[in-house]
Amino acid sequence: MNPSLIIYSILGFLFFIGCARPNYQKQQTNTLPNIEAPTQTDQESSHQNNQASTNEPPLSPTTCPIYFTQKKLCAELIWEKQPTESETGSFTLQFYDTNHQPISFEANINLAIYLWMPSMNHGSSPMQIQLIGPGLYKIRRVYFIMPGEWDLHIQLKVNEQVQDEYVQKFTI
Amino acid sequence: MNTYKNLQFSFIFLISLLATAQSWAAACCGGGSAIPSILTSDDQRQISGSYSYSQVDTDVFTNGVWQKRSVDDVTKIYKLEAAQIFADRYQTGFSIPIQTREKSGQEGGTSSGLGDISLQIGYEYLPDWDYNPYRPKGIGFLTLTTPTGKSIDASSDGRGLDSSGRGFWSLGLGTVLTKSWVFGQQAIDCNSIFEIHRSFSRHAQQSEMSGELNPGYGGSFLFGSGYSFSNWRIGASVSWMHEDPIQFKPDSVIVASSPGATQRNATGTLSTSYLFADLWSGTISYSDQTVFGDPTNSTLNKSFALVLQKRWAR
Repeated sequence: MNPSLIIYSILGFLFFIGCARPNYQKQQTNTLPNIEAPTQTDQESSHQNNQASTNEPPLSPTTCPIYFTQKKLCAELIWEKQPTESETGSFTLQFYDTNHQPISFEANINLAIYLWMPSMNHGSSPMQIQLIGPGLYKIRRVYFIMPGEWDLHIQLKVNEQVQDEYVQKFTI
Repeated sequence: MNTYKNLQFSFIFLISLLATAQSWAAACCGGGSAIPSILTSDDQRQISGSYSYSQVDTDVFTNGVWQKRSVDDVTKIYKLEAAQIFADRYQTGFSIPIQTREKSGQEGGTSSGLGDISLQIGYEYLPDWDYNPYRPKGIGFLTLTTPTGKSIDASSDGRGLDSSGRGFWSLGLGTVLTKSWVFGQQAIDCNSIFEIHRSFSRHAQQSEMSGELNPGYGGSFLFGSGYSFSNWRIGASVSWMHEDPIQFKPDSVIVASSPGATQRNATGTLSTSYLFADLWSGTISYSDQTVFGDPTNSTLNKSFALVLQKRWAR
């Protein structure tokens, strides 16, 4: 049998069974969501429509958007500037107690925040953290060094030891 | 018979350029192919200098979604490779890459650095002494990849641009099989390369995270063919690459371990080679990672490469 015929038959077979099947996703802007503390739900608003009370229910682990189980703290994340493939972003992080009251950390607790790409297990560039109010932080230079699925780690540290952590997933 | 042998040597030599031209379309985070530059012809020595231009076209996530890259991300690799025969059927060699990366955008920039140097030793376990029409020529090889390039976790520019290597010591084992059939002044060749490697764990320290990185096994398989006439060769090949997940175990007991994800892609290559006088040759090739395979957790590149090679006869 002509060897060239064998070779090209094998190549042709490999070509057709091995073709890629692209699954392109349309790029979206502003894809990173805010992670906010819940306001009164529509159901509760309707129920209390004729009532004078304006008290919000206490936050719980199930209703708190960002909940630290060890310290029993709540937080919310609001994007000020969305990061893109080529630009940095920034967000604010407000810490609350379960009664919706802004809370400042004890003096020995430090806030640490970093990005981690779990599929390839590496990080991104360091972010800048600035305290701008009681329990309110502004985080700048949020930059994803490559597109993909990322984890945002928010850690509470004492003497450089992690005491509590919350992880939020993003896809950029 | 002499003409037949000369043509065989020429065509097999041109095949040897193929492995070099295959090493370009590297996935993200530095590092490249583990296929070494093997001397497959009956020569004493070969030295290759190469230049490749590679642009990231698409990112493929772990869920199989493809996303076009919106910023220019270009990698240029300059590589010096050599292989030398010793003790008749044994050979040794090395590969030294230097990488330049350029990225556009507000957080873009340019960075250059040494990549991962690799060393190899090979043995011709299946010699082609009698030009059997069916039995290929087989060379087995061992490779050692050294972490001389800066890994992504050791990046100091805050953007990952200065990453030029994987950061792991790696030991590999593989084989090259070649066969050619001569018909007058023309020839058809067929070649395949298979390799498997094991990367070794190391400790990593980044700004807020430290822990143990545990890679696993990886491997690649290449199959190609070419048509030669006069001093020209036109060839095509497809290679598939797989890397086991890199697991991460943090030093802190509070932070959860991360299992990582498998990395996989395939590279299709078209190449043209020309054999000059005095045993010089050149190859131009185009590689595309968006055409074949079932990629996952990988960047997909499109690349051009130029290889210049000089060999010395025995």
